Amino acid sequence: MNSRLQFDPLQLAQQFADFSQRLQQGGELLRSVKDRDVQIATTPKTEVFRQDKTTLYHYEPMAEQTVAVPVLVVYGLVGRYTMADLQEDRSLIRNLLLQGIDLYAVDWGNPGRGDRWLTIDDYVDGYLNDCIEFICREHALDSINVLGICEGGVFTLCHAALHPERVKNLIVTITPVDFHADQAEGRTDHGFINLWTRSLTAEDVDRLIEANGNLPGELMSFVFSTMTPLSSLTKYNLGLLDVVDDEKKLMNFLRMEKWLADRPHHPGEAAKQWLKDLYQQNKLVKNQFELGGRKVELANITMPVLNVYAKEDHIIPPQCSRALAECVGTDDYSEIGLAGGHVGVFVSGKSQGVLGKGIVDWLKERP
Amino acid sequence: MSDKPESWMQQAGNMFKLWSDQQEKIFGPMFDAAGYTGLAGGRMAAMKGDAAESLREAQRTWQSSVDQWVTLAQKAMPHGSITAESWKTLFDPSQWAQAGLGPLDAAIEHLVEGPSYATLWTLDRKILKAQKLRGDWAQDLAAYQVLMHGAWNEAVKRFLREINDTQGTPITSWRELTDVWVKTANESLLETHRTPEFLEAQRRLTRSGAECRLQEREIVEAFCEMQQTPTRTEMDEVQREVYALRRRLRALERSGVALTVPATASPNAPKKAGRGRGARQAPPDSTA
Repeated sequence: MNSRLQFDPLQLAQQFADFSQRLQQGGELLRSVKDRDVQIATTPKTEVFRQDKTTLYHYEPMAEQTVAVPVLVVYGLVGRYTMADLQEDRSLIRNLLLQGIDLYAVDWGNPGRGDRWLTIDDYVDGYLNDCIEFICREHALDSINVLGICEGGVFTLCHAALHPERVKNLIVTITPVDFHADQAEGRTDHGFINLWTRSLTAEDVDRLIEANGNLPGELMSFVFSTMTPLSSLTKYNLGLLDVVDDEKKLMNFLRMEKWLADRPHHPGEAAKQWLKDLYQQNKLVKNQFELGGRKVELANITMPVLNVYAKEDHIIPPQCSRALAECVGTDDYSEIGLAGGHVGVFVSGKSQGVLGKGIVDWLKERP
Repeated sequence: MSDKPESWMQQAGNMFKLWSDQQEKIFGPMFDAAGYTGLAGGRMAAMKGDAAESLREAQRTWQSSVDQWVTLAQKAMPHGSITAESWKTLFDPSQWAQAGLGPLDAAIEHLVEGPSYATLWTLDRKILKAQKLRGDWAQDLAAYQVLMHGAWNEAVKRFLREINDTQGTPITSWRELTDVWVKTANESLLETHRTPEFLEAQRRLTRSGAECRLQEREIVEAFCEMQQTPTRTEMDEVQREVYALRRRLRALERSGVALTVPATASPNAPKKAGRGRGARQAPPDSTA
C-alpha cells in the first residue's frame, strides 16, 4: 500500500448510506425550523435606564440573593452582550442569577453612521459611568460589582482606574491588557488581530474609518473568519452536517449563528482609539491611554480583581490578559484560567458550571 | 515593413515636401523659358537661386515644426500611438479581467496627477481619479489573490504528502480524509496569513478599497452640491458638533449646574429611594 488511504468498498457504501440518511433527516429538521424558533438572550429582564442607544437591563431574580451588591455585566462594542445569555443551558447570565446574584447588563445598541464620533471616553466616562451611577442610586450604594467581557473588560478597567470609588469588586473576562503580548506566545493560530492591526499604519486606520464612518461589523467578521479559515469555509457544509440530524445540536448551532450575524458596527472614533492607541501603541499597559484628558493609571485599580482568561483563546491570547497581574494596585488579585476558546468559555457545555460558580464563589468571599 | 501607419503630422510633412518639390520644378523652367538668364543673366540666375533657397529654408522650418509636433504627439501617448493592436486590446474581453486599465493607465494617471485648472474639468478629474483608484484596487486585489492561490497550492501539496505518508494512521472513511484536508489546509493558510507579504498585500487592499470609496463619495457629493442636497461630509460635521455639545452638557451637568438631564430612567424603572444625582462630581478637567 503506497498511501494511507485504505478504503473498503463495503464500508464506503455503508458510510454513503449513513450520510444519505443523515442528510434526509437533517433536511426535514432544517426545513421545519423558523427564524422565530431561534431565540437568544431570553432570560427575563426589564429595561431600567436608557441614554441615546445605550440600554441598562435589570434581570429578574431566579434565586434568593446571596451577594448583597449587584453585578453589572459590561460587554464590548465588537459583538453583542447577548453572547452571555445565548440559551438557557449555556448562559453566564442565567448561571449567575441561579446562584443568587442581583444582575444588570448594559447593551450599547446598534451604533449607526451618525454615531461615528463616539469615543471610548463617551462609553467609559459617559454611558458606563451613568449606568453605574444609576445602579448606585437605585440601591443606595457607593459602589457596585462590575464584570467586563473582552473590550467591555477594557472599558471596566478604565472606569475602575478613573473612578475606583464606584467599583467594589472588579471581574474581567477574556480582556486584553498588554496588546503586544501575543508575540511572546509564538503560536500561528493565536493573536492574528494583534498582528493584523500592527501591520496597518495609523493613516490606514484613519482612512478606513473615514471611508466607512465606523469600523464595519462585516469587516470584523471577516477578520475573525480568517483566524480559523477552514472552519469558516466548512461551517455550512461539514459543520452543519455534523449537527443537522440532532435537534438540540442544530439549535445550538443556529443560536450561535444568530449571535454571530448580529455584529454591530464599532463607532469610528472609538475604533480609532481601540486600534491605534491600544492595539498598535499598546498604551493601556504602559499607563499612557488617555480618556477625557486623564491618563488611565491601572495602579489606581485598588479594589479586588478577578481575571478570567481562556487557555485556548485565539482572539485574546492568554498572555495579553494575564499581563494585568503586574499592573493593578491591589494585592487581592486572582486568576481563573478556563479550558476553551474566546467564546467557548461562555457558551460551551463544559464551562457552564465552572465560570459562573468561580465568579460567585469569589464574590461571596468579598461581600 | 511596419504596419504602424504614419501619423497625420508626418503625412502633412510629406505632402509639404512634395508640394515644394513640385513648385521648384514648375518655377525653374519658367525662369529659364522667360529668358531671364539671357536678359539679365546674372541677376535672374541669382533670383532663381534665392527663390529655390527660400523654398528649401521654408521646407526645413516646416519640417522642423512637424518633427516637434510628432514628438509632442508621441509624448502624449506614452504607449505609442493608437494602433490596430491597441484598439483590439480595448475590446478583448480577456483583457477586461486583468487588473488595472491596461493601455489607459498612464494616460489617466497623467490626466489625474497633472496640474488642475480653476474652471476646467473638476468633475471629470474626480471621475477619472475614481477610475484610477479602482484600477489600483483591482491590482491590489490581484496581488492578494496571487498570494492566496500560492497558499492553496501549498495546502494541496501538503495534503498529498500527508495522505501518501505510509507511516501515518490509515484513513478508512471519507470523513477522516476530509479532516486531514481541513487540518492541513488550515495550517497552510494560517502560516500564509502571518507572512509579511500577505500582511502587506492585505494592508494595501484595505487601503486602496478605502481610497476608492472616499473618491466615489467626492463624486456623489459633487452632484449633491449641484442639487443643494446635504452631503455625508456635511452630516458628519453636524453630528460631530452634536457629540461635542453632548460632552459639554455632561460636563456641565456633573459640575452641578442644574440642567434637565438628557438621560431618562425608563418608565419601567423600579421605584426605590435613591441618592440624588450629582452626589459625586467629576474632576474639573473631565470632558465626557
